[in-house]
Amino acid sequence: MEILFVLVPASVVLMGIAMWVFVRAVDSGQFDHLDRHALDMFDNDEVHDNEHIGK
Amino acid sequence: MTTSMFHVTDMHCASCEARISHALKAVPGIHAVRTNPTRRELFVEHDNNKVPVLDLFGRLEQLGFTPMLEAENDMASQRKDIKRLGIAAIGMMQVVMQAIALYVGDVQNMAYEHVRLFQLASFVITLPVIFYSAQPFFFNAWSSIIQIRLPRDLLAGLSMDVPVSLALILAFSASTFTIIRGFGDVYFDSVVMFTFLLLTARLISNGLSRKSAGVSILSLLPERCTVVREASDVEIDVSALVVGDRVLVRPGERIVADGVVVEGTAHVDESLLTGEAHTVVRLAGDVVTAGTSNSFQSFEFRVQATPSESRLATIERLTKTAMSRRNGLPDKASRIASYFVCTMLLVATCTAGYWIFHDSAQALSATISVLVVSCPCALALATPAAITAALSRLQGFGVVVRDGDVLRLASDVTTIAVDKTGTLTTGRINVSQFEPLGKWSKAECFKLGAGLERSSNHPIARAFHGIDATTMQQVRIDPYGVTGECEAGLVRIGTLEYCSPRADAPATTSVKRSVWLSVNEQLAARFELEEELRSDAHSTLEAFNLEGLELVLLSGDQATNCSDFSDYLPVHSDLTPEAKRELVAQFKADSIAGKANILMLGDGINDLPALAEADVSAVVLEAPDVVQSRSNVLLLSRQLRPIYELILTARKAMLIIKQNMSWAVGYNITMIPLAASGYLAPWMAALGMSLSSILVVANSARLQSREL
Repeated sequence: MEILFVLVPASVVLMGIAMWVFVRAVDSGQFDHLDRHALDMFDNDEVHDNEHIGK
Repeated sequence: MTTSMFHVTDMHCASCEARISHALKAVPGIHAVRTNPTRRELFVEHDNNKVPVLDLFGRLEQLGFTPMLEAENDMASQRKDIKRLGIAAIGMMQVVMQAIALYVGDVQNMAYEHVRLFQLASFVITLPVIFYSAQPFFFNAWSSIIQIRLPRDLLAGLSMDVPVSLALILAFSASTFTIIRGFGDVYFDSVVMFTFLLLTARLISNGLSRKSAGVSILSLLPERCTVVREASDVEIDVSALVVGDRVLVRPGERIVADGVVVEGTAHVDESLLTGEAHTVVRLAGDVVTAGTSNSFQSFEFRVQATPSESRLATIERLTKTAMSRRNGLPDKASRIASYFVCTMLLVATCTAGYWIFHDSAQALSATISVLVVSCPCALALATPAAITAALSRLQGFGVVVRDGDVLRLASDVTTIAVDKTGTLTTGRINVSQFEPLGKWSKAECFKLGAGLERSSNHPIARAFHGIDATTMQQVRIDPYGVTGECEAGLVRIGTLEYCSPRADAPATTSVKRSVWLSVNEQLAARFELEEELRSDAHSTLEAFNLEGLELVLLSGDQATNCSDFSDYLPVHSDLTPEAKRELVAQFKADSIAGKANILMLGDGINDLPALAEADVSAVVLEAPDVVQSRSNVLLLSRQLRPIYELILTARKAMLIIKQNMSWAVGYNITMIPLAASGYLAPWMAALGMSLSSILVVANSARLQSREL
């Protein structure tokens, strides 16, 4: 069970990374307005004209 | 005297609220403090000369809170909350896993080095949780402690986070001590679980307060609109609109501000304000209101009130103030909450003392459990959560309740007195009977009548619209009728005297309202009129009956105009204001042992005495200010359905409050002794306490559903 002395510290490090990534995700605004994007389909966005497809 | 409103996101419980009230009320220059804990709103009435707004900010910050003037700044604090929760969650997953290993190892005689390994790893992972995620608890606790000056502050001024912080500190220190010493138990799992669960409960109740704050009527308005400028149409942000701007509204768009139509015809759906979905026509010169939506054709209007100054905004502000009124029930509950904290600390001390003498191994665990398990949150949240949910639901039905106590009163209402027939009728008048008085046929009479009434928009005239009409010349609209000329001669429609001044009144046996038609001053016909009943009038009345609610019509109008309705409900007509009041008082006296309340719906000054006498007074928004300020319920539309919803919601709210209180009391009475006797491990206590709070909030949220 000596492997525990490697695995346990490794998991602590992994947790640290996970926490850091999470904080960055929140700061980038990923968790703001979680409901809002469901309503995106009601927006009247500009219709991309298909002219350029032929060109 | 200024009233300032603050949004205090970290005022998350009744004891926080009690501390703020307590501290602010002691300041000279502050006249009144009102709060709505579930919406985190604080209203302070203060003398702006003695205590300026900045001073209030400072004081609130001193107490350890973060006041904000606008709710939009919420996003930053919401992000912080999520970060704290996320860190606690990630930490909890690891630490609990390691704790399980340790528990198992206890039984299986794990090697010492492995035990130390897991304990050390748990310690490291717990560090960010306790020093970052749990920060708010320590901060609140510390702030409440340092501002204690008098002994009575101890009773009312201690934050609920004091026992929480104490528990966390005890558990963490003991565990750290174990690490240093090299033997003993660790409680890191309790620390992280407690932090995580408590933060979750707070985030959920924050979310609830944000949601009801976000049922903002103003959020219904679009963000952009089209303004007509000299050169061309420009699309701008609604927030940039000024009075005088000319706005183009296309079919399907929502009207973004209050204004006057200047070009085109607006077909407006005003259901937002009146609850009626059929479109209303607004011509040039007519007023349109922000929030209503346009159909059929484009039109342009000139802005008279920007969105923030519009009728909508006024309603929004009224609602906010209404929701913040203090009332009997939550006050009691928050007082209980503050004494609770003190008592809990006492109980914890006794528990510790007892166990140290009898079996000191249990002492720490039992004490922590006691501190953690007792949750006044359920007690203090129970009533405000239910009331806020109820008020929020009612807002969706166009009912603005002025204070929470009204809900209690409304739940006991059995009789509803309405003042005008407008609640049951559509406003349309129809011709119900025809009596020929001369030689003209029915068709001819109608044609003549229609010809005259074409040019008038009077409700009676509308009864004749849409029929084949004789073309009339020289049409003149007078106060008592309409005159015109055609081949047949001089035609008049209106009152008896107007049509035929010299005629003797033919005895008419009818009690209903009539208009007469005359040709060349000879009576030709009598049209009997009736007000059109709303299509849902019958079902509404039936619904009321099913719920044991009695509807009564109290009208100042003549008996003839009210007689249509005597089939449906008891009608009292020709009433003076005083007579109305007496009737209301009589209804109250007649009820069984005064238990039944009466709700009065009025709209004018002549209803004031009766409104004051009634238990619940409701007025429509069109009523003059002096009437509105004396009533406790505002209705956005003159209909019966909102009243029905008010009473039913009130009843349900009272039921839910009772449920919540029973649960809260039962929970505490059961769990505290269990914890004190050592039967509850700290992590179980943490779980129980958080679940209890969530249960209370969730139960109250039931009030928000569309159907009760």
